[in-house]
Amino acid sequence: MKRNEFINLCQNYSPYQGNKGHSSLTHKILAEVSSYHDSQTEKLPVIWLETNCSCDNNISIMNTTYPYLDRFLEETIDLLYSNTFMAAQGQDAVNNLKAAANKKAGQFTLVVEGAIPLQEEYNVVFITSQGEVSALEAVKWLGGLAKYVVALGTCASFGGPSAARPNLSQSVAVSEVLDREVINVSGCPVNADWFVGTLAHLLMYGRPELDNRNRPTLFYGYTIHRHCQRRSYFDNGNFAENLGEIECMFSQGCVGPKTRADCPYRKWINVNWPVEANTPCIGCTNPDFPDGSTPFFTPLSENSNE
Amino acid sequence: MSQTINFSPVTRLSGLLSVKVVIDDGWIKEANAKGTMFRGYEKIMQGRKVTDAVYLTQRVCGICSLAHGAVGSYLLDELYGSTLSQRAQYLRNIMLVADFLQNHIRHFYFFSLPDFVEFPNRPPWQNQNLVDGRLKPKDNQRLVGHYFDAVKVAQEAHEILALFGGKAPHQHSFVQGGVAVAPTADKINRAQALLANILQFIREKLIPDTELLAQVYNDYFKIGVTPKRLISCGLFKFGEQNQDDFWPRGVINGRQFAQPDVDKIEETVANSWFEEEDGQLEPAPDKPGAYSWTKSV
Ligand code: SF4
Repeated sequence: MKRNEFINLCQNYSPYQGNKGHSSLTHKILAEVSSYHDSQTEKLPVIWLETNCSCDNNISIMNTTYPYLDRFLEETIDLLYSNTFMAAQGQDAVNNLKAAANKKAGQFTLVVEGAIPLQEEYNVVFITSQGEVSALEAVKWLGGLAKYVVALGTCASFGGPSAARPNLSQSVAVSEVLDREVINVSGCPVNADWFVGTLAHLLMYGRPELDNRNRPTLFYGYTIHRHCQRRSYFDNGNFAENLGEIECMFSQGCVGPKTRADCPYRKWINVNWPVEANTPCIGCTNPDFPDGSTPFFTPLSENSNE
Repeated sequence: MSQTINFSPVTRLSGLLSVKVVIDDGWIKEANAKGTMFRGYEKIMQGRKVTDAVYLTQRVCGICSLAHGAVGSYLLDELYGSTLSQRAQYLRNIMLVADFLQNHIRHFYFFSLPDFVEFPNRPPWQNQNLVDGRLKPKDNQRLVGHYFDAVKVAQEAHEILALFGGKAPHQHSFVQGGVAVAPTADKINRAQALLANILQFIREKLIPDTELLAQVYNDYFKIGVTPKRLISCGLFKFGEQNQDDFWPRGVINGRQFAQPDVDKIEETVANSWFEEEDGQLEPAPDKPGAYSWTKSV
């Protein structure tokens, strides 16, 4: 509504205009205000599917600060389905999912938290009167309707611990079962900033720039090693003899040199990160985590997996 | 006439759960809680170095992650014959408590409260199926407000864990032999300030809210009552060899108190999708009569 129209409306419904008392003005204005409010609070519609994962990612996301979780849920995203957060249960929850998928087809962002077992009976997301819906079925169905697909955590991005050997469930990355672009936001768990920041990017500017593993370069552009506070120790060949010491953790199995993430700057919950805690980076954002990182505490150069 | 109801998904928990109920003539004949997600960490650990246990087993579950890491650390302490300093034990317990606080606050407010309190009908609470809402509007509104207050204090509990542990969930410094981070004055001071906020929340909100629900729903105490047999395996270890428990272990059976006999505790897979082959448990999703990936004890 234009400014002039608004003023006219107010004048037409002024209490001085006889029988059109001011309560009808309130009615007219409230409708206008609420439609203005709706058009201004553009949020990202999100369907969040949990598959084969420890749910550590959603716990990590609950640790977000600025925005805190409540603000994130109220102002950044419209969380239309989430096993962890929604109040609805049972058939009501399934109805929410179906309604969201239909109503917001082509608009919603599908967040998948967890790897996808090719052995379908190893991961069933819910059971209806028509039968079991496996993670694979659900992801294929929703992945075909979504505007963006975000793989949340290392399991969803690359298989992760859920696909660690011997991988009896034959779990694979979300991108391996969908014939479309998947934005990988890896980490075990994800750092809340990486996920909240990626969704904010989708909302504000659309698809972010991605690296060759389809991860936002904003967070995964450089290796841990490149920005590590202990780099001068490394360059001088000054290595810790034990955990808990102040020197470079390479000798303790640090895989920072091959791990892309911004932990040295970003930190965890704003206060710390593994190397600052005098322990090695174990490469939890990597495509080969955890099999490419174990045995932990063994220098990269001696690790038989390398 | 028997009728089968699949209540699925059971939401607001860490993991995937469905409940199948068979009703006959108004009576529940069977109630099967189905864990529909296979994890397989027993198999993942096989053939790896024992020292992988602390970091790797934490990844079983996001909300109780350090509980798994702590047990891994205690076993490795024993294996390597570590001697723990009292300072390390205090710090380990502070970290473990911080994870517990995070877990309990989130469990109470994010996971349980929507079973008792009416939430605003907008995402993620739309179409809430509250079947037994009883709170007065004023109390209801106050508890919804506390849900939002819980966001910050639960985060602060994890901030304490990250402060000493490097990150949370899946901390790094509580490992075999002790703790990798020193409890320096700056960190202790920060942790105390965070803890003060958490304590205030627990005293002023969590406890009164629990009491209110216990009072309004006091008939729930009589539903599904089981024999009063309770067990604690002890909590918060102290001593150079982890030999002392801050909270003692014990079994209460009616009015009797005894020490737990851990040899009597057994893991069973009678109703789980596992079968024993050559002394090893193998997944068996087609096992007749089984209904869950979860094992029982
Ligand atoms: S601690 Fe790790 S990341 Fe830091 S300099 Fe040493 S090897 Fe590189």
